[in-house]
Amino acid sequence: MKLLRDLPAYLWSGWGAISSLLLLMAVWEWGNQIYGDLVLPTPLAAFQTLGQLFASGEAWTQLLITGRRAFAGFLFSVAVGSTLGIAAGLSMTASMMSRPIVTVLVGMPPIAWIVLALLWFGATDMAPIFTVFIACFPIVFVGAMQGTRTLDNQLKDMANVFKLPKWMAFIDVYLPHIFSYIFPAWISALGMSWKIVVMAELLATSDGVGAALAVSRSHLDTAATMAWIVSVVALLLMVEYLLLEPIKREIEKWRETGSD
Amino acid sequence: MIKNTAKQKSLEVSQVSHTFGLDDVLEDISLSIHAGQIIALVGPSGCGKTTLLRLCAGITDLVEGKISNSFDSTSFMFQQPRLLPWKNTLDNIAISLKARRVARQQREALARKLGLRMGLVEEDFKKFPHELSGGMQQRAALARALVLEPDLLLLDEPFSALDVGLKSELYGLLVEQLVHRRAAVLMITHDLMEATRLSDVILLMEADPGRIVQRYPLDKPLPERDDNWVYQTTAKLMQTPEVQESFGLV
Repeated sequence: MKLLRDLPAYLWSGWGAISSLLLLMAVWEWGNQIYGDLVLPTPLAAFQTLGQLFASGEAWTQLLITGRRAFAGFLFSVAVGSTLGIAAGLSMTASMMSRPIVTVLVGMPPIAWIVLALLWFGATDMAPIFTVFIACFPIVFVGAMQGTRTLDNQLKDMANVFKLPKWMAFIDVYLPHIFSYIFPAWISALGMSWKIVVMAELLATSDGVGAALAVSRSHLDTAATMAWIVSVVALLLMVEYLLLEPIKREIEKWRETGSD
Repeated sequence: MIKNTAKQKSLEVSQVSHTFGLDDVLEDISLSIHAGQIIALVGPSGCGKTTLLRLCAGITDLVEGKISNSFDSTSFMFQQPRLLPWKNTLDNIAISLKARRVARQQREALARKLGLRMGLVEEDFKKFPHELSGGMQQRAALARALVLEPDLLLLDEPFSALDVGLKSELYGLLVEQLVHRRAAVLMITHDLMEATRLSDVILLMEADPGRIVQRYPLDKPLPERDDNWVYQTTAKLMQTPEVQESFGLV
């Protein structure tokens, strides 16, 4: 498969990214020298704490809990947002009507949803899952709706002229176009879900990375705080660049400009 | 569309009128086209040629009048190639075969054969449309239109954006494919010389509302038409008052 053949070259291109991350570490280290260990521990201290957290199994447990919640909310928003978005895109009236609603949803601060979720669901799993869902939903919805609205009439005519059956017109003509809009929306939603879930956990639950962050804050344990942040960000970067980006490249090969 | 019971296959357009909002686009159009016939619709832009062709293809809904098509398979070429940007050239050519559930191996073989005959080369088949030049894209679109072996082909000025040499080469390929199968062609053009070179009958249209004002049969068989004959006949047509009026030359 082409995906695997291109992987070494793709990974090699990651050196640039790694070097700029190392630059960030240097700035972090520099901050430590100015402000001291309590305010900003050294990257080394943070990574050592992270190592201990992984060694004790604590990190795995919490990350798994958080990941499960983020993923549940994300999947739910992808399913509902994509379906409703495509449906709304098919009708002019529906897309006109949904626009203000989506604007309201986008404008709602996630923290307000967390408070509402706490009131509605209490300190259960459902509170972070719901918050993730409601924060990601408008992103996915808009992507799906835009993709459907911008379908090319010329290609529709082509599909009619060559008498493509409905299922084939959907799979070969409409879906690739919609997908090129919806997939980037899924990626932003995934990033969003990961950030929202930590925030929701910090306020609403007693387990997960967010709750662990709350505990390390109350212990004034800055090293542990940095360790948890690093683990969350690293996980997101890995999912995005090792999984989603290669998939996106493979699927959107037809977009590349210029001939080879 | 109603199937004609007559033994000869034909496309019959009778008393078709069409409006977009308050604009009368077409008024009382009647024409018929039989197997082996090439008819050119000639007229200024805005005379409703494209609408008429779309009605014949069934991609615009008929408002008034009747169109019956008894040909077994009808194909269409647009002004633009309209290839699917996310499919490679071979899959684009084979799309109508896929719609008819032809097995992958067979449809690829047919598409490849026709693509090669239309002047594409093997390397082009794996390319995406954006990697092909405009001329190559139209070759692929031509192969896509012909791969079903249509017995009626509707052409909406498909080569108008190409340079003269390429245009006549592609028309040559097209005619070669159609003539020996006795396929019928209904083509749109605003180029009178092109119509004179390629068609058996020229139908002259006028705008506001679009209607057929004159019918010019050309009896000379296609292979016998040399440049000289084409120039002279075109010049003669250009001098008729109907042509002059239709194109706003008076």
